[in-house]
Amino acid sequence: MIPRSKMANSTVEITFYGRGGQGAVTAAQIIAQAAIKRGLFASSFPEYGAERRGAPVRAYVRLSREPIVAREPIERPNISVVFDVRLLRIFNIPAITRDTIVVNASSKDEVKQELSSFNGKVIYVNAYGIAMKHLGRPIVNTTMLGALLRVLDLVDIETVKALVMETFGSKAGRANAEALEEAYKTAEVVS
Amino acid sequence: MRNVTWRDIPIGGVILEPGNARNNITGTWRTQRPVIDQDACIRCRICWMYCPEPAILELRKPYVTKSGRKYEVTYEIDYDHCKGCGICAHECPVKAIKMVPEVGG
Amino acid sequence: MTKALSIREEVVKERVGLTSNYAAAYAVKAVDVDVIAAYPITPQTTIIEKLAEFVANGELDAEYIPVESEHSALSAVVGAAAAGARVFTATSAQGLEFMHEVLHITSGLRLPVVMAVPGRALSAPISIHGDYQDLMNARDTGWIIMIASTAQEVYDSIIMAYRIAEDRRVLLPVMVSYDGFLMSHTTEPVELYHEEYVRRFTPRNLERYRLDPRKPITMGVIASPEWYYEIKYQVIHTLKESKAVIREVHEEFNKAFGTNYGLIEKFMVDDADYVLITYGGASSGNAKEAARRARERGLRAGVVRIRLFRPFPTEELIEAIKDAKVVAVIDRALTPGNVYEGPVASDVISALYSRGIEKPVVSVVHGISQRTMFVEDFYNLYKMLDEYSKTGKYPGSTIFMGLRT
Repeated sequence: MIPRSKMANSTVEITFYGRGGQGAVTAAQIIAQAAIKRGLFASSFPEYGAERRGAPVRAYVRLSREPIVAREPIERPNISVVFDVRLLRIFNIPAITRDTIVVNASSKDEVKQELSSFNGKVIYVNAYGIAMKHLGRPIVNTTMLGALLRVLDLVDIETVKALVMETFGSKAGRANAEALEEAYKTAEVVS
Repeated sequence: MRNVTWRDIPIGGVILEPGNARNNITGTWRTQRPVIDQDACIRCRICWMYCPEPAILELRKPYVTKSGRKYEVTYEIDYDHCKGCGICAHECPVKAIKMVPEVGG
Repeated sequence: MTKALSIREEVVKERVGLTSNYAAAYAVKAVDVDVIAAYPITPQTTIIEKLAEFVANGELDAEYIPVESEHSALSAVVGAAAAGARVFTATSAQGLEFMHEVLHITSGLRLPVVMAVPGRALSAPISIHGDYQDLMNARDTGWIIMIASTAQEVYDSIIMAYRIAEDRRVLLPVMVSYDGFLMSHTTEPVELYHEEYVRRFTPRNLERYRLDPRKPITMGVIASPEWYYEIKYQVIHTLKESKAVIREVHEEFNKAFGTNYGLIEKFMVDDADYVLITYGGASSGNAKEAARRARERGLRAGVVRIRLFRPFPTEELIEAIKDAKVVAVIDRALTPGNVYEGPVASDVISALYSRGIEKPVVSVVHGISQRTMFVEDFYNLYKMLDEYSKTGKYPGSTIFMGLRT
């Protein structure tokens, strides 16, 4: 693989891995919009397979202080945001992620076991539990955004919360913002 | 027509003068001409309605038939534009229109 | 003392994250169209969904006609434009194919229709994914065609399109095309303008023949062979001549909005030995990134992006590539059975030949039905051009990149 150009090296690349219907595409768009609101450059695009409920899906975000020209899928993300621990193997995530994996799992032990070979940083969050508590539904995208914000300093939580409110409307927006907030507070750095 | 170049024609093939199809004397296309028997005609207007051109003229012209019937209007053919299609003759309910050959008729 | 605002500071209302489809809808709202008729088809649908929302919310005072097909969509806006309305429609792929006969009618009737076309592959086999096969099948219909490469450019191009289409020296329909999905569904920064600036730039221009009961005219006549050729030639002539007006509108837009658009975009071409000629967002963006990498490794690489596709920017293109050793044309479309299967490669060869310039042109097809194009593919292409140039051996046929062989 040819190294990236100097300019591309200033870019943070994030891939969201989810299942159809969990809102990975929306989460990627919210992060891009939050960055754009702060005057940064961003590009977010879903992978367009057959988007069926339950099928594995990817959504990509590039963030940069410079205009972004490349329009290729992200093959080696700096950060992988994994909506379901079982997707780690499906997408070979520990092998391709450069720096950080943010993962939804039911326990820290499960994460440690799955990611024993990964040398980067790992953030664990029980997004399923948080989403059920605040939304009553297992839609974890906003919860995963909260966990992501623990390691992403290019965007701030207040901007993201405001965008969540705008995207989901007042009632659902508030519940999602609360889920995001709780995930932000309870996400744990495992390694 | 040879001298009318592409620069001289309104764009889009637009025709600026309404109703100028009248300038096209299609009456020269005929091989047969319709002839109305004014005494047999009952002024039902069916030929006027069916004529695709339209080349049936509805004229305010009083007419008294041989049997003494009075009409306020008379139907005549606009031979400048009638193409001789024969629809009027075909549709006439009283067979008052005959198609007559243009040549040798 | 207050500092004078720069043009951008003055005209830009807000910087937001939008997909190219939403950017198109915002431009249509900003120019204040009167009639929209459209039929949903992926990847275009979110444009007309957004416009439907604008109309329903009262943000845009327009007649929105939900029709039963693309053929009817274009026919409806043709009728509205004939009556003097400012109109918009959008489609992709099979929808553009279904519109095809009306595409010719629109240009033949000289109506300033503006249409957005996020490009998509054509069936069969069925594909919803992006390329430019649909657009290339529509290129010979007498429309002005611009191909944008960013969401901002989509927004700006649609604004320019109305000025160009309605100019009485032009009066031709305009398509603004861009990558299906890779742009239509990609969220990126767009600077939206205060609408009063857009409206000042696009005043309604009604200097054209219109259907008006107070002054009747006939449109859509049958032309006998004595007339058809001349009326068609008017379209051919005007399309070619429209380049001057398009250039003028670009210059005025740049002045009014502080942008820097040209008929083509040049990236590192001034001293380039190897130039990739591209159109659309993904080909151009990846080629630019590849050119940077290639330059960091000592290859004099550059990119020329075709922004105005019809009328073809022959002079601009030749001026940009005249000193290059080799050029390669990246096509995301096909002309099966032609000398080269890349349609724009044939255009470039014909442009060079018409000016008596001999230069090796390599035809490359990639990104068909959104086959993933990597920056690395384009980087490898620069290396291939270097190799061809050094050995003097060129492929005499189209290179199908990304194809499993």
